[in-house]
Amino acid sequence: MARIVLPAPLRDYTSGVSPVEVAGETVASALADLVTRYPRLRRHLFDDGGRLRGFVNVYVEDRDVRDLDERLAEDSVLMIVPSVAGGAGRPVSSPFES
Amino acid sequence: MKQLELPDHIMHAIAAEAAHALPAEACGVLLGSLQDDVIHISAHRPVANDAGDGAHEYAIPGDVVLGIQRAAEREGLDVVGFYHSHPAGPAGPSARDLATAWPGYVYVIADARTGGVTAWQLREDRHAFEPAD
Repeated sequence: MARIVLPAPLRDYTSGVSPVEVAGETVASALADLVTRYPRLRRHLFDDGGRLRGFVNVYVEDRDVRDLDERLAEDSVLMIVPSVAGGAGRPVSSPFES
Repeated sequence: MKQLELPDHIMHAIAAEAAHALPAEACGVLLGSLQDDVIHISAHRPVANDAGDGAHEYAIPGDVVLGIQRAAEREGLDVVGFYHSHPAGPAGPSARDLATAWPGYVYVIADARTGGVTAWQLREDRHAFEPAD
């Protein structure tokens, strides 16, 4: 089975398990199996339309994979890594609004 | 929300970076440990702002995060969050900051005008940040 290495904050959703062994012949199906096993991960990896969120990067053997239909080997190791962006703008919350 | 342990010397260093980066936004990665309900920050790594308009936005590519994560693991540390500055303030999260956040990380924001530093965590519903303390 392929394995998915999760960044530290996402291990909260897997009871600390990482890497997670997943079934699937492609990157997409491996990710689908991950969120089937750990449903609370889904909203943080996929948007409401079921698309992988833009800031979620998947590396296979240290290669940033953009084609989620890419096929995996039986022993592939996937890593989920965020890219981060944002910046100044109108605040959406404050300690007094939350 | 997890409890945050953010040493004063790291807060001061981030505030100094924010002032030094003006008129652009400073940004970087926070390293430390996530243990149960506590985020302990023990180091920070400044990163070159990869955004096209560095005065109004910041970006840290995944390749950069991965490289820092690998190096941190060799020191027994984890990536536990990120920081950036707002050149014209305030030190509060913007709508744009929401889109690339995960609960469990801490997001530190520095107001480059005042030197104020705040820390935030994304709510589980992804709709807003809560102040971290």
